[in-house]
Amino acid sequence: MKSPIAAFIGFLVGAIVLAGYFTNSPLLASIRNPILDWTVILAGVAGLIAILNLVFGVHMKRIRDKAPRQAFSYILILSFVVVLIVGILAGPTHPVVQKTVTNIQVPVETSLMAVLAITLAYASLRFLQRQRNWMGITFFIATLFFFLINSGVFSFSADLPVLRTIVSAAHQLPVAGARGILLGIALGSLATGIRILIGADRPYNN
Amino acid sequence: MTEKICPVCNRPNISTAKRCWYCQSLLEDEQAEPGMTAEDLAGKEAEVTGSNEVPEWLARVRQRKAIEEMQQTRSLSPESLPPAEESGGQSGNQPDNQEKASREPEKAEASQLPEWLQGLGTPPPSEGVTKSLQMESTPEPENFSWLEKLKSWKARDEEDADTGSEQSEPPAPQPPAAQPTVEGSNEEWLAEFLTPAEESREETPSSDLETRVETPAMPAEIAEEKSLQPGSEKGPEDETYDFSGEEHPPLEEGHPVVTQFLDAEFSGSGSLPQPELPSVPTEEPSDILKEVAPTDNADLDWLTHYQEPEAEEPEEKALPSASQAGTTQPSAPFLGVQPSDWGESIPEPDIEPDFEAPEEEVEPAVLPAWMQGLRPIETKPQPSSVPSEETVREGPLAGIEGALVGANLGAAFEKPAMYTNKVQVTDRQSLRAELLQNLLSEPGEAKNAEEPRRPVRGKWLKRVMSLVMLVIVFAVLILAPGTSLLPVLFPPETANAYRLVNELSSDRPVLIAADFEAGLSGEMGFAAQSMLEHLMLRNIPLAVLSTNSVGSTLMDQMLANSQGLVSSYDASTRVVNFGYLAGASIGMQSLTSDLRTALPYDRNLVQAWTHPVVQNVYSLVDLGALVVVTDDADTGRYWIEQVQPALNGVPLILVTSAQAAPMLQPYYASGQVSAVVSGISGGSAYEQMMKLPGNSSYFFGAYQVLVLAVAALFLVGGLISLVKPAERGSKG
Repeated sequence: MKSPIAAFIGFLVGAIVLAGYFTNSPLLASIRNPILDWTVILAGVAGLIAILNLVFGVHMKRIRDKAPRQAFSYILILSFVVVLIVGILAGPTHPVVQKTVTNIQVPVETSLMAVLAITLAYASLRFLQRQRNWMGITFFIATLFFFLINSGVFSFSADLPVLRTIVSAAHQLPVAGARGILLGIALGSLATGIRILIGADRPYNN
Repeated sequence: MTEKICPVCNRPNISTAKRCWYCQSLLEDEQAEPGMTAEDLAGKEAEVTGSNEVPEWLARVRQRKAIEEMQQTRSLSPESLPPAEESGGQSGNQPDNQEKASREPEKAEASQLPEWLQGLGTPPPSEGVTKSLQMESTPEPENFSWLEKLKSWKARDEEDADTGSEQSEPPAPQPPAAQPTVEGSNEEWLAEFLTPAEESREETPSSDLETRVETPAMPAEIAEEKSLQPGSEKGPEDETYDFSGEEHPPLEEGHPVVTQFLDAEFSGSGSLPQPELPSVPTEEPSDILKEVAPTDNADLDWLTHYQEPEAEEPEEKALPSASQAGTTQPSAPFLGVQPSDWGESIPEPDIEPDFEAPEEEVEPAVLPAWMQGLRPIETKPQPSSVPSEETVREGPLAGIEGALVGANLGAAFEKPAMYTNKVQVTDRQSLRAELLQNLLSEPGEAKNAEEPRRPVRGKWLKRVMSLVMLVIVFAVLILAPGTSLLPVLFPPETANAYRLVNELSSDRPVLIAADFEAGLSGEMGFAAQSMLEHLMLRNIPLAVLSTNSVGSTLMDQMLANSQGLVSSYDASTRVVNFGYLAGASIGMQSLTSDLRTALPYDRNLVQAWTHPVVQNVYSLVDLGALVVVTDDADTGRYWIEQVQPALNGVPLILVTSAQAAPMLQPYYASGQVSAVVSGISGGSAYEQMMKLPGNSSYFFGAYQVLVLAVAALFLVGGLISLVKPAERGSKG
C-alpha cells in the first residue's frame, strides 16, 4: 500500500458520508457538512491551479517557444485576464459579468455540440463498413427507426391504429433499455463503492 | 672515594648515601646491627627520615616496630638456632663453621627484609606455607620482580658464603638429604608425574587445579604440629620457606607428622610409593628431568625447555641445589617457590640416603589433564626449516643447493566450492509468480496519445456534410419559419407537467434546480422556457439553486428571457437565487435534513430565508413543487433518489434534454417523477398546450428537417457500405 494514512482517511470520510445516506442523524450532519465545505474549497483551489497551469504552463510556454498558432494562446491569456479582473471588481453576480460569461461560454459549448452532431452523422455513414455483421445491421436499423420517430414524421400515425400502436410501443423501447442500464449502473456503483471502502481501489492515490 | 653496594639491587651508591638511590633500600651501614637497641634503631631511623618532624605517635609506632624487628633478628641469630647436626639430620657431615658462616649474613639480611616481605611471616606458619604453595601453583607475573631482587640479593650472600667456604674447605658432593616438609609436597607433586599412568590416575584425587591448590593444606597442619612439639628442632632447610622467620623444627623421615602427611597425600596407596620413584639424582634437576622424561616423550619436553636455559646461569650454578641445601650450605630462600626456575627447584624424592633406586626402566609419564591444560603450546612436530642439502629443482631457486625450502603453500589452498545464486525455478513456479505479479502490478497506462495519426479519410466528405446540414437549417428558418410537423397527441408526461403547474398555489414557492451545462443551455432553454413562462403567468414565487457552478447563472438568463415575455411578473421580489449548492448528491441529501442549514445565504451572500418568498419555508414539504432542469441523466437520478423521498407529495417535475429523457422515463413510469418535459419536442408540446407559440415551435421545424436529413445520410451511407467491399480489419 502506497500511503496507508491516505487510505485510512479516505476510508473514514467515505464511511461518514455513506452513513449520511442512510440516516438523518444530526451528529453525522454536523460532521459531514464541514467535510463538504472543505471539499468545495479544495476543489476550487485545484481548479485555480489547473487554470494557472493552463495559462502559464502551456500557453505562455507556447509563446516563449514560438510555437505555431500562437494567436490562440494570446487570445486565451487576454480573455482570462479580462474576465478575472472584471469578476474581481464587479462580482460574479453582476449582470455584465453574467452576460460576458454566458455570451462566451454558451456559443463555445454549443459549437462543440454541433461538431459532435456532424461527427456522429459522418460516423453513421461509415458504420457498416466496419461492423458488417448482424449486430451492426440491427444497430443501423434501430438508429434509422428512432431518427424517424423523433423527427415527428409519424405524427400522422394517430389516424392509423396499427401504426399508432407500433409508434407507441417504439417509444417504450428506450425505457426498457434505460431500466437495464440503470440496473447495471446500480450494481456497478455498489461494487465500486465496496472496493473503495475496503481499500481495493484507491483513486485518491492517483 | 668508596662506593656502597646496595645489598638488594647490587648497584653502587655514594659513600654518604644512607639509602639506595635506585631501590630506596637501606644500605649496609644504615641497617640494624645485632647489637643495637631499639632506641638506637629509632635514632637511626629518625636520622634517615627526619624524626624531628615526626609526631610523637608515629615515633612510638616506629619504635615499636623496630623493637619487633630486633626481636625477630634475635630469634634468627645463631645462638638461638639449634646445632647443625641436630637440625640437619642427614647433614651431620657438614662442618659447623661453614654453616655458621653461611647463616650469619643470612640472619643479618633477614632483618633487612622489606616490611611487606616480613609481613608474609606474620600469619601463622600454616597460612604462610599455604600461601607459598598457592603462589607456587599459581605464579603471578608481579611476583617475579621481587623474587629476582631476592635472588640477586641471595646470590651476593652466597658469594660471601662461598668465600667463607673456600677459606675453610671446598664443598664436597653431598648425598641426597631429606627435604623439608614443604618441599616434600613439591616432591610428591613431581612424584605423581613419575608414577605410571594408571597409578597416577588412581592416586591423584582430582585432576583439576582447585584440588591441587587445596592439597598443600596438609603441610600447614604439619607446620602447626611442628610448632606444638616442644622438642622439635629447626634445620637450616626450614628457613628456606620460613617467611616469617619463626623457628620451625625440621621434620625427619619417620616423624609421625611426616608419616601422617604422606599417608594423607597418598591416600590411595597409604604409603609412599618409593619403589616407583626413579633413582636418586645427584646431579642438577635438569639432568633429573632428562632421565625421568625421555627425550622422545613430547609431554615432558616443554619442562626441560624451561629448565635448560636457567641451568646455564652462573648464579644458579653457584647456588646449591635443593637437595644439597639441606646438607652443606644454606639454601636460598624462596628458591623452591620461584616461578621462573621451578624446573630447577623440583625437589628430590624424600628418601633415605642409602636408598638405591631400582634399575627399572622408567615408564613415560602421563600428565594429568590440568597440567596438559597449562602446557603452553601444542608440541607438534613443526615442519623442518633446516636447509636441506638437496638441490632445489623448481622455482626461482632452482639449481641452488641447500636453499631454504618454504612451506608448501600450494597444498594449503584449494579451489573454493562454487555456489550459484541462481534460484532453481520450475515452470509451474514461474507461471504462478507471473500471475502474482500481474495481480499486484498497477493497471497498464493508456497508450501514448502521440501515436502517428492516420491520414484523415473523408475529410472532404465531412465538410460537405457540414455544409449540407447548415444549408438545410438556414433554409427552413428562412423559407418556412415556424413550420413543423406537430404531434397530434401530446406526451402524457408533458401533459402532467402542464397540469401540475396549472394546479400550483401561488403562495407556495417552486424550487427550481438548474443543473445543466452551457453547451446544452440552448436545448434546455427550449424545453424549460414554456414552463417558466407558465409559472410566471401564475405569479408563483420561484427559488433557484444549482449543483454546478454555472447553472444558476444560466437560469438567471432564462428567467430574464421569460420575464421579457411575462411583464407582469416581478422577478426582483418573486425570485430568490440561492446560488451554488456544493456536494452534488450529498448536497441534495442535505436539503432533506435541514433546508435552511443547507442553504443559509443567497447568491449575494444575504440571509436567504428572510426573503418574503421563502420565509415560510422550513423544509421541502413547504414547497409548491420541485422542478429539476438537467441535461444529465445521472443528475436527474440523484434528485430522484436523494430528494424525492423527502418531498411527501410535493410534485417533482423534470425538464431534461432529449438524450437524458430515455434514462429518466422509467422513474416517471414508476411514479417517482410527477412529470417530464424533454427536449425541444417537449417544450414545443408544452407551448402548444399553453397555446402560446414560442421559440420551441419556431425552431422545431428546422430541427425536424435536420433530423430527417441525417437519417437520409445514414441510410445512404449504410447502403453504400453494404455494397462497397469491406475494409481491411473490419469485423464480420
